[in-house]
Amino acid sequence: MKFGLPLSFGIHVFSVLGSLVLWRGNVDLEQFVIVPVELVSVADITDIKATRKKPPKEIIPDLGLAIPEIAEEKPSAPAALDATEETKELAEESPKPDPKQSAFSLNDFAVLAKDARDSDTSAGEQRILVSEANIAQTDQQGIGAQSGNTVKPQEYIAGKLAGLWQINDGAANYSDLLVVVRLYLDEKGDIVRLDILNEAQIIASNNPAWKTALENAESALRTAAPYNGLRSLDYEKWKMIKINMKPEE
Amino acid sequence: MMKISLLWGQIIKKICALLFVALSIFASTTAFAELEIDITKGTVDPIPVAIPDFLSTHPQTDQIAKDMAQVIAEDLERSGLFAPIDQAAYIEKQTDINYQPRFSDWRLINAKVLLSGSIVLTSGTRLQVEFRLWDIYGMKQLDGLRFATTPDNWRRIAHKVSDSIYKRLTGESGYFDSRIVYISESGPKTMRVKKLAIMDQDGANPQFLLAGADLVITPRFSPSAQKITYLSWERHRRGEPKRSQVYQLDIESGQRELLGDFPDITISPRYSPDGKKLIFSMVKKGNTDIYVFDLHSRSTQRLTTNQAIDISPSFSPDGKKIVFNSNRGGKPQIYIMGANGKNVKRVSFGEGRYTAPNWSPRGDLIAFTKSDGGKFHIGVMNAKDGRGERILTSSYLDEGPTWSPNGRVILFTRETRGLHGKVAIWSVDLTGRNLRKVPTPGPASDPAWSPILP
Repeated sequence: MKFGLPLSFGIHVFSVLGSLVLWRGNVDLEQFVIVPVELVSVADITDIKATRKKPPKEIIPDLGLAIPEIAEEKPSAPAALDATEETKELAEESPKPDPKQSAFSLNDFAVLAKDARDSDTSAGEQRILVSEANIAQTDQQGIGAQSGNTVKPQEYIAGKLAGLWQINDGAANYSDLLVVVRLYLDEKGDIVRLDILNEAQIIASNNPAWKTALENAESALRTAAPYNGLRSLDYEKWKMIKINMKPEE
Repeated sequence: MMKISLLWGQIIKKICALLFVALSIFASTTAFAELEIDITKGTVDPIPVAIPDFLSTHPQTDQIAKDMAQVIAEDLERSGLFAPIDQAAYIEKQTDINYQPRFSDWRLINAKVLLSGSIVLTSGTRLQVEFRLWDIYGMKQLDGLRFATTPDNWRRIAHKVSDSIYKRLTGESGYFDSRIVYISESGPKTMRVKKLAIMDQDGANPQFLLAGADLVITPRFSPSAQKITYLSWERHRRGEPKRSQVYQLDIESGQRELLGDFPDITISPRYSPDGKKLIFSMVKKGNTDIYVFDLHSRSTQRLTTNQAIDISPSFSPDGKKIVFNSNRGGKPQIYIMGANGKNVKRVSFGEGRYTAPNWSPRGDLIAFTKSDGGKFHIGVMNAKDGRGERILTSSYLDEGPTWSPNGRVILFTRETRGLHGKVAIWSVDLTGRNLRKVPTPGPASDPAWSPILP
């Protein structure tokens, strides 16, 4: 133990420095990608017909001048889908394309479909679904996580007893009629054993309503069984429960 | 240097040892940590009870068997603690009460308790009534009793069965086999005739106890339930004006007796718990104080000597204390003193005027009348210190609370407004939830509840 003190000092320094390093960790800020959320307003502007009226044809007074003929230009297709009102108006104003150019022939389509079917030999077979849902092999996130939405054993048992535990609120000093019970449960939530911890005190009492309170408490606990809503993974926590049954004033 | 390092080593060793011990203790406590739950909320709903007609073995008792089940059902329902299930819902029809019922059949109709009873006519003149009380969910017998009586006494047996059920299921004594003495009123308010009358606690068998048209008030039962004390305004001697005098009436013999010939006005007599004394107020030279009258020696002892008005005394069940009403604090409030008149302590401190205190037979509460905000209320407070005041009823005029023998229900007088206002007896339980009008043949007031009949 000659070097005990310096050794201890060294270990402490090492552990402090080590913990500082571990504490700092490798925090990669890049993994937190901030996704900007844009306020998108959806409007059916593209379906709205132009409301601007066509300007009235200008009446040109016949001055006896010859009007030169202007060759008519074919309209060009709109550049983008987000046509503005103005472009839409222009598109409407432009002459319609020749219907022969965009004609859709059902016969042609049927021929194409038949060809495709003939070329695929497995088209007539019933396909086996390969994208069926996977059997859950891991706990789903949040379920049984003992979060705020998970009922606590206290609340579960209190809820089960609330409608069954008969309280005689007109009895003498009824709010002092404490019954302390130790409940031993099996994994299915059935009662294995039920001990009244303050039975001697109740029997010795000269308040007859206390004995009835004991009976009512025991009856409620037995009627409420099995307590199968408790989380089975936590069995070690609730296999033995001490219950203080005391009506509030 | 060597010594220092050795010392450090020892210190570190000790610290490690201490840490180890602490860690061990922590580990052991966490390993055996027990889940502990506090349950404070239950149900106060009435207990569903199945009460089929009693089984009868003789045509002569068929009607009694039906009536008895009905009286028991009414008794239990009136208490507010039990809800008799409609007989039409019953699935099982029992033919012998000595066989265990089919519990599943009774569970189906949500019965928690089943009463099965039978009536046998023995030797042609006596009834033998048996009953068994079953816990439907616990699947066990809770109680079983047998009574023997004459056929005309079947109502009392029904009340006794009700008392047994009440006691078995609440732990407290019942109050169904008891009577109520009250003042039957007739005539206009300005010229009321007040007669002493008695009936069963459920309003059955009403009858007058005294003939004549005297003005009788504040009747009270003796602890044996055999005698009644009351005040009567009578002309005691020829030529004298009428004045209130304290009387005692034997219910069985009908014999009445004047208790002391007091020249002064006496008010609100009441028996002591042992039945050997009467306590009342007496007005002497314009001062009202509390006195005790010994029924054996016929001697009177003054308990209060205050200049204020001290009235409405009532003994505690153990006879050691007296609660009374006094305006010595400026307005009527409730005070407690020893049975010898010493150690006077005020127990009511709320707003309003407190009158007519009455100590509960259970000893834990004092019932009172309170007037506040233009209304009258019946309330209770802790007998120990006056705390925990609870108002149970409120109306134009509620007054004169009297306790049931088990200290669970209070009877009082309720009067409606106006010259033609009606006066009636009402009952309320300690929770204030079970308020009912007590059936009487006519207007009735000033009830007093008897102890459980012997």
